Amino acid sequence: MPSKSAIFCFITTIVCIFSLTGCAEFYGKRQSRYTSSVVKYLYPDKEVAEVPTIPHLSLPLRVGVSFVPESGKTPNANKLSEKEKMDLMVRISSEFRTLPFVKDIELIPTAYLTNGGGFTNLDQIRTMYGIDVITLLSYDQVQHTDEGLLSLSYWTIVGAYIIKGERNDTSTMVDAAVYDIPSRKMLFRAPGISHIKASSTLVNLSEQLRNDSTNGFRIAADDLVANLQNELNRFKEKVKEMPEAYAVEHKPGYTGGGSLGGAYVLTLITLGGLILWTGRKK
Amino acid sequence: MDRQKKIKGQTYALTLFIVGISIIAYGCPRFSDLLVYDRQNILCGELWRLLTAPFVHFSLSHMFWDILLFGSAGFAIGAAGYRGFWLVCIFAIIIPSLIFLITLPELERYGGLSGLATGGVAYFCLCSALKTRKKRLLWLAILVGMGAKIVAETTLNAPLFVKTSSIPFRVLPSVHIFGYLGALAAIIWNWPNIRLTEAGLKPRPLARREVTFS
Repeated sequence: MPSKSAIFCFITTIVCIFSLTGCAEFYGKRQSRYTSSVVKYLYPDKEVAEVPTIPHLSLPLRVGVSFVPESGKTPNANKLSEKEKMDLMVRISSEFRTLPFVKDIELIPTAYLTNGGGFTNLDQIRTMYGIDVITLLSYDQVQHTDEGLLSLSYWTIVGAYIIKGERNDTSTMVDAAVYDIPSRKMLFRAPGISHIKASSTLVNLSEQLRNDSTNGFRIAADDLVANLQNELNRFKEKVKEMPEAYAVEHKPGYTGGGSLGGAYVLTLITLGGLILWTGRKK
Repeated sequence: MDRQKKIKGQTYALTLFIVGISIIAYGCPRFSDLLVYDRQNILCGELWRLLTAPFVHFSLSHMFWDILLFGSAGFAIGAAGYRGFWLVCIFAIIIPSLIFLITLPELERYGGLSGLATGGVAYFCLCSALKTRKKRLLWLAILVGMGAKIVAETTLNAPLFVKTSSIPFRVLPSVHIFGYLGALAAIIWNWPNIRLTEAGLKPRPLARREVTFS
């Protein structure tokens, strides 16, 4: 017959073990995801995608920029605010603004894009804003939180406030896909990625994750803007090299200017220089 | 002698000013948006665009070649001490914008220094042809060549030395006509002084020129 103290010890041990298990479950490995997908927006529940035709780019272009609606979010994931989305769209639009064949940029709020709206929704947007081409921005952010060895200090309660035992990994991808709406063809795309590693105290965890999320989007946006410039240049070359794949025409009411051409300028300068030089020689 | 130096300084300053503004405008798209010929905005009262349109360029190569020719012409005119370059500039800046505003309602945006550059080269050739007898034929040959190019481009309505697929705008050969005409106008306006200089006499100040009736 076990003694009372032995039974008490046994129960206490069991309770402690279960409590620790609970802690481990509560504070163990966690993951959150916040994502939006161009494919889910453009081709919702469709097995056969719409076949694109040859895009007729009527210059100068009116370009729209918008985030596609969110397609997935775990409850604890940090969300991009509308202001942050607008800031990012402004940065993207500034890249397009430098292009001479772009006439106007329209920043379209996400609320105008319906979930799974597809090209039907884009046609509506096209009519509303009078745009020809749209840049659809999508994102995918995953945050992992693990506990390091230092998290043992949480048992002291004070440790949860001062010891950074939480290790956070934040991976972000922001993608810009440029579509010609009438032809349903993707003209080009540019990605931006970032990876942030950080640590935090248990108490400060949610704030740290929020900061990591914001920084992740910011760094990914920087990367996207740099890649976008390269892709735009590549696209310009592609349009010149493949006239059969992209029909380019000028709208009436287009930009005009005088253009001399390098050969002409060099000929004039050389001829003038030669005449002046021979005159001085004598 | 001082007067000659003053003319040179003014010509260099004018050339540098126009080149500088063009480079700044290209580097700063917002500034460029304020300067470009924009038909709707001009009709809404932004009249300065009629004067500032040539300082805006639509691609790097567009700006580079325009500035190279305009800068070369400006410095050559300055070095030679020819007067009246400012008149060529004024003519090549204002007249095309005004004529496009009246006759080309479909032209929404326009820019580029090529009209001024053409005017500058034509003015330098004309002044040199009038000043030096030995090389007169050579300068006139360049002028005729330039004129032939402009006529051919206007007739064909396409540029001769530029691939249209490589530039993001429609080429307006008529801009060069106005530059060329600006050079002729400046020569006519400056004619009495050129004759005096040729005769070895000191030219009279342009602002105080008297008109006499016989």
